[in-house]
Amino acid sequence: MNQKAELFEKFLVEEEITCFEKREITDEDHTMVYRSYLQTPVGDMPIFVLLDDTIYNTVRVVVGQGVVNGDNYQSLLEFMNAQNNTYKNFKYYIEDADATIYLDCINQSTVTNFDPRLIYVLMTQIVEYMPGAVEGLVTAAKISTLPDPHESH
Amino acid sequence: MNTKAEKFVKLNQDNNLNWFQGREFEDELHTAVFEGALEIGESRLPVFVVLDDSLFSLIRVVISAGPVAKANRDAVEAELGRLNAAFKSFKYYVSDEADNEGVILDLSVPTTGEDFNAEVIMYLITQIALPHLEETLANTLSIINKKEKSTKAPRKTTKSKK
Repeated sequence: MNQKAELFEKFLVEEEITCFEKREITDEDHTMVYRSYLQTPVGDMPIFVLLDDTIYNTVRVVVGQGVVNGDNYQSLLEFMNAQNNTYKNFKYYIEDADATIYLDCINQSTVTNFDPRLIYVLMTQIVEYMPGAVEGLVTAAKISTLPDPHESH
Repeated sequence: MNTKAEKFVKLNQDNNLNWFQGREFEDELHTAVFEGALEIGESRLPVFVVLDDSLFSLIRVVISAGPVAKANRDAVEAELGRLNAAFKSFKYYVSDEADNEGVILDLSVPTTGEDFNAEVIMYLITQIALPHLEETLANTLSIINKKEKSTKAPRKTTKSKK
């Protein structure tokens, strides 16, 4: 396990936060993945905290698994551009490989400067933001509900 | 001046760097903005480092100032979406705000004042943003500035008199 993940887990224990499932990836950067779910009026979204040996710490939301298609691509780009313009602490993007909308919040720190509280605050801000944003999201995606994430994540 | 800005000024002074002109605002967050530029090929891109009392520090690069041509808008948004997916640290978007229209690249650096490390800001500008822009800027600008093909019929040439 990488050192930032150790500090994050210590924080979770101290604060009695039990919403995460964790998974260790056997890669060069000793990546640790912590997964929870974000509840919205149109369905749950998986939310991940990714910590590794690099200077990057990532909070990632799988906003819409496989919902992107030729019919909604341009309207989703417009929606994402407007949100990316308005909110400076995260960004939306589409991965063409899995036709999925993601939202990332990236924080840079060395192990010495790593602050697990900050990661949790950033995650909480996204959790509070998302329920108010989903109406615009589903309109742009031309769907009424999100796919059930519990089947794929 | 806010704590992060003090650290940033000190780093620049300690290293005799004169890249940035600082400006302070009398707002609740004690915002300080440092303005500089990145030179990439023939382009000179304005760079702003925005530091305040909030959790967020921001590096902003103006890729292209002024409104994006309507005919190019879809292609520009598609290209910025591709860049946003490929480069996780960067956020590109088209800004339609009055007085701030253009294509913008942001690097958000969430940190408390206590943990703020000015060297990380300089590292992100010089070691992450600059090489990235040297690689991608020409293509991005070519899509932003693409000229619309003329839809007019070509002029007939005058036949020479025999």
